[in-house]
Amino acid sequence: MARERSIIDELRTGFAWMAVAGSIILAVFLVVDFELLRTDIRETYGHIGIAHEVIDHVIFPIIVLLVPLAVATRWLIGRALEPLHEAAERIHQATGRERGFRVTLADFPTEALSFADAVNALLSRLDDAARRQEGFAADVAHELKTPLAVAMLELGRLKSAEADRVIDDLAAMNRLIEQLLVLAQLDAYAAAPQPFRPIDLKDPALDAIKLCAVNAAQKGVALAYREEGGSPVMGRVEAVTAALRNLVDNAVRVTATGGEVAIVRGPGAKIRVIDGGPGIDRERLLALSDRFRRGEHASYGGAGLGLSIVARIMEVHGGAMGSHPGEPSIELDFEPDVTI
Amino acid sequence: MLLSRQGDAVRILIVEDNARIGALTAEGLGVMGFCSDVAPTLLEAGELLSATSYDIVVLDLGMPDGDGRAWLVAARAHGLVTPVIMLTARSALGDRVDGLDAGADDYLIKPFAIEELAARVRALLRRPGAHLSAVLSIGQIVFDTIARAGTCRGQPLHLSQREAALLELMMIRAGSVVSRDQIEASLYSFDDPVTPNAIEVLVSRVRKKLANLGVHDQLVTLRGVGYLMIEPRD
Repeated sequence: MARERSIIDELRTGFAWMAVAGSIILAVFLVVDFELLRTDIRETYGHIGIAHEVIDHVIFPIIVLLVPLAVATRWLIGRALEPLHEAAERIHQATGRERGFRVTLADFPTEALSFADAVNALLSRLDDAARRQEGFAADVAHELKTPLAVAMLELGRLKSAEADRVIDDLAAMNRLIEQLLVLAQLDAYAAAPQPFRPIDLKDPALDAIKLCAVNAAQKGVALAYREEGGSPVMGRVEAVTAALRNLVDNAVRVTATGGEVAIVRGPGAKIRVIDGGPGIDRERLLALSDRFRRGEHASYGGAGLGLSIVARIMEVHGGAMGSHPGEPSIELDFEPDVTI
Repeated sequence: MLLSRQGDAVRILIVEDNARIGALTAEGLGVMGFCSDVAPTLLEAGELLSATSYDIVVLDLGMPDGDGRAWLVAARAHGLVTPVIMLTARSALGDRVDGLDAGADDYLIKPFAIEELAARVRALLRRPGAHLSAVLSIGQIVFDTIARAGTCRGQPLHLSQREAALLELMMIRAGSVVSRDQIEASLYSFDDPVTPNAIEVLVSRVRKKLANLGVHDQLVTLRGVGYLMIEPRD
């Protein structure tokens, strides 16, 4: 990338101008001192003689003064900027672990301190915002869930079919609150990431199946877990569980009674949810999962919200959600575990 | 009325600051035969626990006078051995395992159905050292834990010892998935050789006996995961 303003370049230009200006001034002194405006004196010196005087009194002093100055300045500036290069390197290395990261100011030149302080202040504001958002999301979820809990317990006493239907609606509302909480926490995470840990995809897969088990069994859809190899991946197990749960929920919805929904781990750093439905083509999957980014917040409900949350979870994990043509499955690709 | 091992009524302490949730939970558990007290603060919970002995504590995490998790860690350090079920309104990321780390025996996410809480309470009372004498029933399946015999639609099931143990386990844990390892650990002693498909065979025998008496689809297999007992489908 071409930078317009380099300190070294500006100094070089500055030294060039100094050389020009210095040469002119010294030349003027030379002319006045040796009275070179007079023709007879010029003729006494001759061309060679004048050239010798110019070298001795103009070019030589300029070179003796400016060259060491230019070299020394260049070296000093390079050394003063070295901590900035190192800091930049550390910032690059901190990608994905920004939460709590600060630029170390130990070797910084005083002139750059205000800039580094400003960067650190920005980082700490991002941390604060992320923490506040997490806290806020958790508080909202708590405040919404308490009245939901009261309502569900009250309705539970009635023991009627109508009450049960309302309980189901409240349970759906509760799921929605949880989904939005996951999203809010992921956004907070994206603003100030914390390090991922290596996980075995089997754990979130079994958790997701257990969470969906009763619902699937009531519908008469079998759930299964299989392994076709599989390697550890980097991630947050709770978020991956939420993603897989959404996929299994959707899969159970599109699978007829008597069918099967299976989570298959592997091969490699991926996991698939296979259902008994008609499958989903790439464009539709993309359209459903892209809803959040495009800001189409219109019709939530059904598969839409679930899949866009899955897409967001995968995005934060640096992975992707995809489907294969002619196969009723959705696949999640992760970044492989880098610690082994 | 459900009786504890000592022959007294099972006593549950509900530590919950929301008065309506506390009262509704106590009432719901009362209908199912449990006696419960409600403590609206952690301070009061501590006083009640030192004055009375409880079989189960149901603990809400967000209490006005402190964090339930920290309180539990401190209480466990001071020798509290009573099984604890944690109630939490948070569920999504992170929060879940923390409760179990703090010394809770089980956790339940709000909002919950009272039947779910009762099932968790029963499961904890079933643990060794905390015996509950009760008749379990799920839909048309009934299991008497003292006679160790089951009936289905009023007809005797004629279960072997191990089949009875399996049915009992699945009924206690009804509504949650029980892994093959968990079944193995609770049905077979440590040095008992278990053939690879022993559990599978056992489950299918129990399922067949249930099917012979007209109950289908209540004992569900989740291949590669475990087994699940559900309420009858409508």
